[in-house]
Amino acid sequence: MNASGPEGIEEFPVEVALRIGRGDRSSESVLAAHFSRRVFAMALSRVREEEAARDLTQDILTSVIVALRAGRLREADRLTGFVLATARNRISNHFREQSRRPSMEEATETLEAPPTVDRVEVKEQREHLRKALDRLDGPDREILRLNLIESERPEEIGRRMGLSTEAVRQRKSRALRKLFEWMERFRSQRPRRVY
Amino acid sequence: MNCQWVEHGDIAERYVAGTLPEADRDAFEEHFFSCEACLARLETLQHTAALVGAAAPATSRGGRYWPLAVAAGLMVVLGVTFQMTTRRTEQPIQVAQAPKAAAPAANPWAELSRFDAPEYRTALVRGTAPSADFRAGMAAYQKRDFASAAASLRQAADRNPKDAAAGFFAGVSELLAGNAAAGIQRLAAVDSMGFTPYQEEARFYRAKGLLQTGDAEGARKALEAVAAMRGDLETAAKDLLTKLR
Repeated sequence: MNASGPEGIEEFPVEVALRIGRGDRSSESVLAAHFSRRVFAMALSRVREEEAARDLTQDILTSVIVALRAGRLREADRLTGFVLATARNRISNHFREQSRRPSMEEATETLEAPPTVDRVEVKEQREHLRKALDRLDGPDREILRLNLIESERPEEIGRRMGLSTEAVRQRKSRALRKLFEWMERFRSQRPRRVY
Repeated sequence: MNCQWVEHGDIAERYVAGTLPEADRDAFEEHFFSCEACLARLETLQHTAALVGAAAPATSRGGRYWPLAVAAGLMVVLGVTFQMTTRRTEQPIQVAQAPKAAAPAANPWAELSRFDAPEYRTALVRGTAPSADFRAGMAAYQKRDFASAAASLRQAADRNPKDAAAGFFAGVSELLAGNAAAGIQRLAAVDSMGFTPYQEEARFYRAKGLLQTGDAEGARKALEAVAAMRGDLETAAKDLLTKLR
């Protein structure tokens, strides 16, 4: 479906957006399936709470589809940028006006909530990843925790754990490489669900 | 931005940790929206953060991904509970005791870790009323019975993890009762809720808790975060930072 470019870059086909503008409802699911993981990853990073990120993802995709239906996106080749801008706007609103969700209210009469990231799939991925994490040394897991959760730099982690900065970097790099490879094999064996 | 930059610059890791500068963050978002490989990398890191965060020991310092671990939500800011105003008292009321786990004489930061109990002044109720546990907890808190307050507020906070007020006063009560690790954990959870009336105070008193345990580096980071908020506690945070250096 996607056109592959250099370095694995995949542009979402603009004709899907155009079809939504012409009233093709099936294209809406295609769009939601493509962008839901991206928007969810972004929302999760910004709000750092899964349920809130899930709600935001649905809200953002709803807004995008409503806009496409209404023909508000004049240059369809800018779709990715439009989704990004919508996501940033909605996430900012989330922090500013947490209780107000105008786009969902706007859309409830005309649009079924689009699918968001599949909980079962996330659970499966995490269960698989846990096996790889369990195989790592305890200090390696602690380095990942301090880096990803506590936002500590390698030099800070090194001081805390009695390791050199370089040793922390090497351990982190090696541990992540194992996790990435492990998950890459998992993904290649289990095609992503189609919504 | 390209994939090599993402890999060699630890961009995805820093994105998950929340330490990327804004311009790089935006550039990375534009990149992974179109790059399946970097999106997969990011997802693996987010899953990893959720797993190692959830597996962290109870005494660990709370971090940015605490909500993933405790399933607490930013939804506290949806305004379904009550809003409460608090202010820091001008006069000393109760000085936090040294933690049970650490001998005061062995902790060089014991003096800096002491604090007066933040005053609970008024509850302006909007929406649902405070729970019985919360009311009992705050009654004990006002009588300076912090062990009893912690017990009741713990229940109130556990029953409603989105209740920032319950979490905040539970955390402070734990610290004042000498349960540093539990207090730090509670306050980290409040901080992780994001923008609430208690975020700045939660960070400040978490720093105090970290000093109780002798973790000056952790306290320094927490205080820097307080100072960066430029709120009511900016001066107090900067004063403490000066003393820590």
